[in-house]
Parts: sequence; structure tokens; C-alpha cells
Amino acid sequence: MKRCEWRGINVRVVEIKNPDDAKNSGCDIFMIGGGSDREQAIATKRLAPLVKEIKAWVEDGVSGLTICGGYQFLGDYYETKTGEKLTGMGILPFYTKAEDSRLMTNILVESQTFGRIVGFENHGGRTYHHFPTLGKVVNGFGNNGESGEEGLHYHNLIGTYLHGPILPKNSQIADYLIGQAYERKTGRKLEPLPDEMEKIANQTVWERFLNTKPTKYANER
Amino acid sequence: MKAQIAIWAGKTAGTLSKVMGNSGSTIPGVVARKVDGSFLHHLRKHTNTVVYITGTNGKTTTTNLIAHLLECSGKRIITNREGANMVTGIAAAMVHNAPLLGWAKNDVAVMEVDEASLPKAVSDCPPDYLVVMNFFRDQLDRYGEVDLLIEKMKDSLKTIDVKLILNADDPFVHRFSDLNKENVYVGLASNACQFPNYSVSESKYCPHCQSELTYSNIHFAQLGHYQCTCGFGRPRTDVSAEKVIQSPNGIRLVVDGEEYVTPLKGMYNAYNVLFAISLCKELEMTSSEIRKCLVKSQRADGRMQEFMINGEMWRLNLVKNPAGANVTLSEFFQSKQKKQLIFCLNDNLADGEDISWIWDIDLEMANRLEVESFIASGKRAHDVALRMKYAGIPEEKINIIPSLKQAVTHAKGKNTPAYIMATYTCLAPLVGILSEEQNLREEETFGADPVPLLSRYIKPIWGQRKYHLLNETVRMAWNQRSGRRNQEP
Ligand SMILES: [Zn+2]
Repeated sequence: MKRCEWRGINVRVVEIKNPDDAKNSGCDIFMIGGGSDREQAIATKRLAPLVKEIKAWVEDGVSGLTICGGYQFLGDYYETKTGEKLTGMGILPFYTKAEDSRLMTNILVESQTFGRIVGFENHGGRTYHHFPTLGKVVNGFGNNGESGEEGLHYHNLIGTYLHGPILPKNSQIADYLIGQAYERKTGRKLEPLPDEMEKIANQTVWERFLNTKPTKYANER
Repeated sequence: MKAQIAIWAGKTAGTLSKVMGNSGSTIPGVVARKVDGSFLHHLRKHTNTVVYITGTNGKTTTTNLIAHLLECSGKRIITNREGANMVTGIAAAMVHNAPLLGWAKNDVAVMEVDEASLPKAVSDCPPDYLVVMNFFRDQLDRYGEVDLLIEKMKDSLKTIDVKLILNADDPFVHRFSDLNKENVYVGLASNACQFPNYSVSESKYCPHCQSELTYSNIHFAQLGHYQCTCGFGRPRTDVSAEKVIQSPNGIRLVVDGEEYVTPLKGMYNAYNVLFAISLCKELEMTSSEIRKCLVKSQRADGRMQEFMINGEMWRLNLVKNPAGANVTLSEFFQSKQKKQLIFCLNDNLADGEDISWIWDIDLEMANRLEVESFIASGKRAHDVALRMKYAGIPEEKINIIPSLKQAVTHAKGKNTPAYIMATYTCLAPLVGILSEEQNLREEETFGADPVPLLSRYIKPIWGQRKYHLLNETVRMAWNQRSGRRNQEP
């Protein structure tokens, strides 16, 4: 938002409370955040009539950012600790399985497209997929704590466990999402912004957590 | 006998850790519980009334306030005043309170209890009263853990006989109602006070049917007069503050037609004072007793604490979550005076390692002309600075100074007071630094006084204590003189 405003690009933000909001919005960028498992299941049910629409957006190259629960529920299902399978939106064929320990730490990711990405992850679910990822985990856990990969990057859709939030300290990702949408709409390239503060903040976090050991937290306190 | 050994072990450990230079406020408790696993049982046995205070924001202030009021009314009390609010903190308070042999008999135990520690504390030592203040959205809430937390707290209370003092204005707290205990609902009447608005809209959903709640009056965050279509709504209050009035000397509350004055400042203290009054009334303190004692109450360190530096009144307040930070900011901007804003953010375990909550603070409202300079400080100073930038604050007004000491020094260089928000582990060092600055200033003015050589020559001969006494005497004389001088036309 702010980075569009600074460039003089008008943005209208539409909060999707029911499916009609989205159908009429003709959006250029969409974003789905996360919540608790319970909330996520409710949200997914409400979004069900939209699945075809969102699928079309993704194939069409609309910019999309999905985080935590929003990322997990892009897939086919989310298996809870009790073995219950919560149905996902099924935008892409993959799944997530919850485990007892929570993966909760500052995370650093080295990405071919975006360079150094920093953020914070906090998730009980482990996500498994065969799509291109955001990058390699340098410190932290990532998608499932085993593959050494974090996130998903398919067309202009990004799924990730990083918040912190992700965009301010990784302005290259924000500009990627805006840039793709802007080019798609106007055919023009995005002008860069002065990003000194963003870059230093990114670098500071990177250096600080490069050599710390992440710990798994037990879910029960 | 086991308990006695536990006390001795605890006391010894406490002394040892002090000698080694740790403040170690919970160490005696940790040790005592190692020796005697059911150590907290003894609190129940040797105290007439046990009161627990829990909730996200304000529990330290409320606990201190209740302890002060009861003590002032002549009750013998035991309390964990330093805000050590886990089970070990309670145990530490017990060790500290116990004489060398046996137990002290207390009228009331006033204990601040961390929300997550409540079930353990309740099972070891069931309380007679439980004050539930509020549950604010923080990092946990994103993952539905507040839901889980509340359910666990409620489970622990099911089988015991306890009276609940509940915040009527908080839909989260209202969920304790279905325990069917004896409830005292406490709240602010609609339009009792003007909490300045801030623009961040929070999602407020009904815990029963997940529909959005409607509010006829919002105090701040999710606190207010709410109603849901399913029938869930704010309960009728038993104790209600009809009016809260702010003055430079503190706040004044009209509670059920009676007026109370306290030196505590800031609207956000309204709830703390109201809960303290309600509880003390339950314990049969009279209104006039409460009123008399309330006047003498003091605030805890780092709770809107004031420091006189360079002739300017600086302020320091603890922030832990967006709701608290927003209220702090609106307090800060009550005066239109020119000022600096410092935000000190650490990400140690006690602060919360995940600092993304700062993006939910309405820092946009701090972007105003009267704030001449912003300082981002602490281990995550760069994150604070970015947050400020995205709040629309001009980059040239933002200074990034991770060192707390240097941040204070930088702010001192300007001729405007600094208003400081700080997370938990920034607080103690800041109180130290600011107190030192304040004293330093006193010594400097004193240095210009008639006896500049005293400190150099007499201090080493007399020692610190006697010198301090002399110093105070001279200063008092000096103040009196200058006071008189000022009165002349
Ligand atoms: Zn409802």
C-alpha cells in the first residue's frame, strides 16, 4: 500500500467478507493471511465459492501473497494433530500435516529471485509440495523443518510461513508483487524507491540471527 | 518439616544469589519448590483470604494497588510485588515473607498470576477471589492461543469455590460467566471517559457464534459496551465507574455515586483503580477507608514514571502489546507540548521474540508536528524505525540508536522532553539510566551552590552516608532560600 502511495499509484483495498466482494473487485493483487486452525477452517468454507475465481487469478498471473494459514489452505487439506483432515481450498495440489512441536523462530532464507529474506515463523503445520520454493533456509525451519526449503512461488503467487511482517524488511518482494501487477495492468515498469532503511534493517536481522540456534517449542506450555 | 527446610533452602539461595550480584527475585521460589513440591499449599493454610489477579494488561499495577489499600487499612498481607507472577514468583514471596522459624500468619495474600500459570497456581493453592482484568490480542492470539488459554484457565476453576471479579467490558473475560460462580461485574459506564480514539480497527467477534459484535460504546480495543445478535452481550455491572476525570495530578473516579481521587495518572489506570476498589469492597473495606488510602498510592517502576531531566518532565511507560501501546500513545499526546518519542524494543524471551506486533500499533497517530524527533532504540531498533517510516513519519525525523544509554544521551541534547515506550527487558536498564540522569542533574545544580568543594573533600573522609545527609540538609536550605526569593515580587 504505502509503497504504491509513495509512487503515486492509487490503490483501493477491499476486505473480502463474503464471496461477492471478491467477484466484483477485479483485483490486481490479493492477500490471504492466517489464523487459528478453527478460524482457518471457517474462512476456507466461506471462501469455497471463490475457489474457481482464485484459481483463474493465479493462472492468469495475478500477484498473490498468502501467509501461514493462508498458505496452508491453498493446498488440498490440513491434517490436525488428532488426525482430522480439514479441507483446504485446493488451489494447488499439496498438503500440510500438524505436529506437536511448534516451529517458532527468526528465519533467514537465501532466494535466487529475491536475495536475502528475513522474517519470523511460527507454525505447527509441516507443508509438503513439489512446486518451486521461495528459497533455501539458512537458519530456521521453513516449510517442514526437513527439506531445507521455505515457501512456494508459482507464477506470481507466493506462499510463505514468514511474517514479521514479511514485506517491509523484504521490500524486494513487495516491489515484485506490485511490479508484476503494475506491468500487467499498464505495461510499464515500476520505478524503484529509496530503500536504504529497509536494506539496513534486513541486513541487521540477517547478521544477528545467522549463527543462533533455533529451538523447537513444545506446543503445551 | 519439609516446608521448613524448603523455606531455609529458599532463603539461603536468595541470599547467595544476591551476594553473587543477581537480583534473582524468583530464585528462592525455584529452590523452595524443588525441596517441597507442594510448597504453595502452605499459602492456603496460613492465609485467611487468597486473591489472584490475572489478565494481559494492568495486573502489576492493580496488584500493587490492592496490596497498598489492604495494608493501609491495617491488614497483614503477603504479595508478589515485583511482578514475579509465575508459580515460582509466588513461592518466592512466601519464602521472603516467612520468619526464620515457622510461618507468618497473614490476613490476605494478594498475588499477581500470569495467565498461563493460573491453572498450576489454582491447583496448588485455590484462591477465594480471582480478578480477571482483560485479554488483549498479541502475537499469541493470531494462532488462536488466547481461546485455548481461556479454556485452560476456566477448566482449572471448575471444581473450586471462588468468587470472580470480572471485567464486564471485555467479551473475552465474559466467557468466565458460564462457570456459574458468584460473579462481580465491573465496568466503565458508557461515555464515562474519553479514551482518545485511534484508527486501528480490531476484529471483535462473538465467542459463541463468531458473528461480528456491535458496540454502542467503545472504550478502547475490544473493551466497551457490546452486543451480539445471538444474545451474548455485556452483562449488567455490579460496580460501575460513571465518570473518570483526568487532571495533571492524577485521575478522579466517580464509582456508584462516590468520588475517589488517586495520584495515578493516565486513563488506562481507570480500570486498575476500579478493580482495586471493587475487590477491597468485597473484603469489607469501607468507601471512606479506600478513599483515604487511595490518595497515598504510588505507581510501580516504569508505569508512566516521570523523570525530571534538564528541567523537562520525561515519561517512561512499559508496552507489551498493541492495545497497551495505543493507550500509551494517546496518553502521551494528551498534551500538545513539543516532545520527542523514543520506542525501545528488545526481542528477548520476556519481551516476546516475535516483534511483528509493532505493526499493529497505531504509530500513524504519532506522526504530528509537536513530535520533533523520533528515536528507535533497543535490539530491534531497525524494525522500529521501519515501522515509523511506514507510519508516514518523515525519514529525517527518525534516529536509529540501538544503545539505550546513547538514545537517552541523544534525546538529552534537545530541549524538549522525551516520552519513552519500552518493552519489558528495556525497562529496568532505562529506569537506571534515567534515574542517574535525574540525580546527575541534581548534583550539577548543587555544584553551582555555595559548597562545591564538599563533595571532593568531605565525601572521602565522612563516607557516602553522612555526606548524603549533609548534602540533603544543604539542599533543603538552598531550596527554601530560592523558594523565598521566588516569592518576592
Ligand atoms: Zn453471538
